[in-house]
Amino acid sequence: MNATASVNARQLVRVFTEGGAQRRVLDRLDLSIARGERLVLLGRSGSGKSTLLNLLAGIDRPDSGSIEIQGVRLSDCTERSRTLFRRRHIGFVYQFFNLLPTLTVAENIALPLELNGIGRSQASDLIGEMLSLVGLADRAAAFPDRLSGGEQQRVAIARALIHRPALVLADEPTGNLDAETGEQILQLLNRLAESLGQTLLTVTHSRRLARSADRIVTLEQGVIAHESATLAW
Amino acid sequence: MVSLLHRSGRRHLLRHRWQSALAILGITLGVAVVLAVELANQSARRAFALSLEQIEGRVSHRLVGVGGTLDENFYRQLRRADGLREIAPVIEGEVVLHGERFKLLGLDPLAERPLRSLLPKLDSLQLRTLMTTPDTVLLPYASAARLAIGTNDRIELEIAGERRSVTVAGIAGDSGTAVPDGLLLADIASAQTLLRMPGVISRIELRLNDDDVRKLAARLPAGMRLERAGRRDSTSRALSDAFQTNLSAMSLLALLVGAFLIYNAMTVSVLQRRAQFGTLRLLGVTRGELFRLLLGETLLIGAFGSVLGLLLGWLLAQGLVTLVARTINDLFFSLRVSSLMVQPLDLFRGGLLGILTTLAATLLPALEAARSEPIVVSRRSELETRAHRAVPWLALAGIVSLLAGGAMLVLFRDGLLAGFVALFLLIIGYSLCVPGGVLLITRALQPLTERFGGIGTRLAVRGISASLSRTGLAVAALTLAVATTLAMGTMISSFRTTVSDWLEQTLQGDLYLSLPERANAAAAAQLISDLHRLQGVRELSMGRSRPLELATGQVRLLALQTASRSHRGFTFKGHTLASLWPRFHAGELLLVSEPYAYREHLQAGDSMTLPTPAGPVEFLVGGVFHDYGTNPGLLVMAMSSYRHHWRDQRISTLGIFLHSGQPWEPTISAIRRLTASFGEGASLAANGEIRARSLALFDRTFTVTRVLRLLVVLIAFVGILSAFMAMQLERSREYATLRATGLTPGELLRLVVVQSALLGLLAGVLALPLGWLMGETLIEVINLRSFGWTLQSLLPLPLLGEALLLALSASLLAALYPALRLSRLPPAAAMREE
Repeated sequence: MNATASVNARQLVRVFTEGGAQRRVLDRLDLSIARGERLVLLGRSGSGKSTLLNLLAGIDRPDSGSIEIQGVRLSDCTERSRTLFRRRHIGFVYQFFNLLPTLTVAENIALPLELNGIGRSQASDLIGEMLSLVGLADRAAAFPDRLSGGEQQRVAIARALIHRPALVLADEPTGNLDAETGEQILQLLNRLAESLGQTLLTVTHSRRLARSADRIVTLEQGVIAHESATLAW
Repeated sequence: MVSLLHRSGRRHLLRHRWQSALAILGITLGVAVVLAVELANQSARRAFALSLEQIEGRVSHRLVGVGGTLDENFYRQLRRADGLREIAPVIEGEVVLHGERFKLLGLDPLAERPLRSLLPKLDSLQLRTLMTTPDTVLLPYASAARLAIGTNDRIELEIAGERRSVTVAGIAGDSGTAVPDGLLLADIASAQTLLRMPGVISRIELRLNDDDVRKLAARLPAGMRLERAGRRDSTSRALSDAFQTNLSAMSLLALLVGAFLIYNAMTVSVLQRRAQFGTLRLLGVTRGELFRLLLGETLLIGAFGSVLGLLLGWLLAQGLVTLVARTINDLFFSLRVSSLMVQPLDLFRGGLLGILTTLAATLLPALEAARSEPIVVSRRSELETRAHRAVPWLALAGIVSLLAGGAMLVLFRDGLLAGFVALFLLIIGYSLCVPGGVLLITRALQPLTERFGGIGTRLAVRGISASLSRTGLAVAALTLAVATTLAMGTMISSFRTTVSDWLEQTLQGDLYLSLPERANAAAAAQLISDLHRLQGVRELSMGRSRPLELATGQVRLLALQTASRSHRGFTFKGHTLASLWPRFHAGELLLVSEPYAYREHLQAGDSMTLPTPAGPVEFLVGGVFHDYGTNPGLLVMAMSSYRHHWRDQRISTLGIFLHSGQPWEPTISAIRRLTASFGEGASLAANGEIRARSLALFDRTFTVTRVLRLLVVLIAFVGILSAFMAMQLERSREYATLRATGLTPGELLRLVVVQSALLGLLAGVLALPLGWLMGETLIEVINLRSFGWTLQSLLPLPLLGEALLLALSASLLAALYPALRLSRLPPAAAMREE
């Protein structure tokens, strides 16, 4: 294992059974991500990108292999420990935003802080700061269904980063947005993650969006097919 | 738990306010019904206990005559010769005042004092008036206040059909010292005159130590029995308890219907938020936190609904207590409940029951939510796959539960509790089989709709099996609700038809003449001879009815001299002895009513010893006849045998059979002239009149059950409305997608309405077997075990139609709001909505 890495995944195997047939989605995959690194995971649909993301987030378990994040061997943890680890150390941005429709913009962003037991006054400052950073200071009291797709994704980014998680996982964060808005969102995500020193793993199948990454990993049929510092093709 | 999660939950409830309000209303009604029945029952029990406590006072024993009365001289002898001091005579009878049944107690004010404080401290003038002026009574404070009667007022009493005017000598007790409502107190001599019981008393009440008991029992003359106080009313009390247990069980059934519907509403509420729960789990909310969050929400709904339920229950109980007390009064014993007795514990229990039921109903959906994985993709299909996979297992569990219920009914042939447990097992078992039924029926319908139906109908039918996780549950909830109303309706209807048929069968005579108790044998014999000579009279039957004290409690003994058609009046349960009627008339056999035979485990061929004035005599039970009267027990013997053993030639009733084809009026006028000398106590009634009166009484006693049934219908309606509306609203996004794909508003409206109607119809149809099963169990098991009655099993067509209509109307009404809303809303807006 790489001692300085934020994420160390070794020999990951994940098999799904569908209609009696077994499909090996991840096949002895090794992956290390350095602290503060911005990594983009490329690949076609069904290549195993989302499965890897779910395993790293601790919401799914590998059939074999190990995952270590921030020195914690996640693959050996109980479900509850993984949940509490996720609460503290992981931020998640989804393609479909997944905001809570019954909470306002500010409340959605505040949720991870509350879950981590951060006091109201400190939380209030952090929320105000984060709202300004994502450009939504004037929409704090709005409910998600009143926002545009881009605005909703900015709220999701704010929510993913506000509690300063060590690892931010973004699953097709621009997949539901137009190209221009997608570009803005990706820039925002990269900029914020960089300024907060967070490790960022973004899953996408858009090569255009991979340009801003420190490293690009391409998955094919559950294994790493290419790995490079920039897009070489 | 963090406040934002709670806030999110609260906002969800507020956003779906109709759904939340209906869920709260369901709990409110469920709690209200249970509390109202509990308060009414408790109030009746407490009023009865209080009245018994005050009437019995420090009395330890009672001396009763097997024929129902005692010679008053025996009391004097005990007091003077035997030196017993704590002893008092009592004469008791029923009177009617202002249309209400009262118990008239004749007491000796001087002998009473050491035994109890029923008679208040009267001033000497009042005491002298009571003891020396005939036809004077004391009225309890509660009765006087309720009926606005004061001291020295003249009141009209109806005693055994006769009107008697009496003076109120004083008011017994005050608002602080309660003498039981529904009592009239008189001096023993006045009571003897009023009740036409000269020279006799009903019983002697005594306070005895063990030594006294042994001595007195040793020299007790034949025809008398010494018994412990409080034992006398045990049979009536047991029947009354059974009646109240039935009411409680019905109210719990109402709560079960409510709980099932809440379960459905909460499941839909969880389904509605499954994506949110997935998000929360991704953000690091643990399963325990999610579970507690949902239970907290439910607690809020449950507490709110329960508090409203307590208020409504208290209001409802005000009316219900009158109905319960009236039924007990009509059927079992004199009981007046002047006010609702509310104990804080009753309210606490009612509230707790509401909250616990709501929590229990939410437990499974909450566990389901907590189990949800924080993966947001393909959850819907997984959920449906799981629901389809669960169908055979649910059906298997259902069949096991049905078999267990059936086995309980067969193995535990006695015991009300076992009956109710079996009933609940049958209900649960059947409900578990309902999703399987839904799947089978919709699959059978699908080829038809694919061929003949429009797009809306096709999608509607396909949608039912495709969304089995929601539709299966909603139909099961609706099935139970409809079946419960059907079962209660069936029970009431079967009971009424049975009683009506029984009355028609029993009342074989054209006219019935009741003679007053005081009518002497010679006058009665003369009357019979005169009646025989009347031109219109073809035949007479004669009866003598009197109370009989048995070791098992008081029963009525009816001695009969039958007419040729009278035998048809008896229908027997099971076999009878050979040559029944000849042996009956020969005085060999005794006929026993079904409730008594059931309680005492008697059947044809058993022997039974009756206490007669000449000592115990053994009779053979010739048969067990159906009887739906209000007596805890009725024994019938031949008139000749009765006269031989009891030396009593008097007659209580005459059945008059008229020649057919002749006008009745001249005969009736002639009979009235002949009975004029018997005074007001003699009453003549036509067969139809008695039937109508009896059925009116029946209807009155069943009012409380009808009210409960209406409440169950209301709960069912509200529950169905809430469950179906929640289900349809949950599918808003799906419907919006269909609209966006090109379904017109009309087609969407048709889809939602057809699907709801189909679900309602499915539930209505599936409710019919369950309703029948529950009705049969209520009739064949619960009623038999409670009261010893065998009832005809009927499933009237109008009730079936009513059940289907209830299911259809509630489901259609529930579909209307979501369907209209969705068909008017632009698809884009609907898809943006949660």
